[in-house]
Amino acid sequence: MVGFARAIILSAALAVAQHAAAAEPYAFRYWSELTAEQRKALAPVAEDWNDFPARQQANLLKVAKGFGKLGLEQQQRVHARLKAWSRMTPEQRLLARQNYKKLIELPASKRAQIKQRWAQVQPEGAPEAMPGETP
Amino acid sequence: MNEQELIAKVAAALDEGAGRLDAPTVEALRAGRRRALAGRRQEHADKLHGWVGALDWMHHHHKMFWTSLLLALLLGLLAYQAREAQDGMDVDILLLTDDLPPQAYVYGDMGSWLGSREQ
Repeated sequence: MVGFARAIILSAALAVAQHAAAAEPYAFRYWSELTAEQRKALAPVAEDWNDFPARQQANLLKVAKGFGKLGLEQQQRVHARLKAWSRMTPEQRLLARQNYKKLIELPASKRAQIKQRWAQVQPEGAPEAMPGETP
Repeated sequence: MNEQELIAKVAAALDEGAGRLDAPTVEALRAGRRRALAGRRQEHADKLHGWVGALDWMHHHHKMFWTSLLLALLLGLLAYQAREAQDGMDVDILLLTDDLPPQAYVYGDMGSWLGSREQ
């Protein structure tokens, strides 16, 4: 019983330490410091990378982490959109995340309805597309 | 007549009335008071007993109590971390691989479509 309690305490301490480490401030990283895999995933933003703030770099590195698990088509889609995504303001990216989360919480039929609606108005909305977005 | 005089008169009248009560009525009132006080004491004792019981249980099962508490905290922390990791990572990559481009969620009427319940 005592051994079990010790194991629990140790696990709790490790989890707390891990959490504290994760909560550390974002660290700025130069493009040259990235791994080959990260550079491959983030290739479209290579030129801009060193100008990104550390927090944006951290978010993009999370994208790079998941990039390898994507299929080829999805990887191409990410590459096509990455530049425009990284040129959005932090507020725009936040808004996009919030609206995306709202959308995926809707029932499938309603999601499809909204996506269809967006596709219908797209020709008019197209000029507002962000610079760098591949049509 | 001032307030003090009025109070004195009311008290005197009550004392006089109480003195005229017959023995059975006085006994019935006394029994009622005793019951009320006993009920109140029992209620207090029950509450106290509940706390003492909980403390007693914690004292005798302190290992199990602390282990359960730590386990609950650990599970809570892990669940929180998992949720945080999910929020931080997946949304961006899901957005970038979605059917709609990210700008669909920023420009145009998407906000109002999502906000409106009459779609």
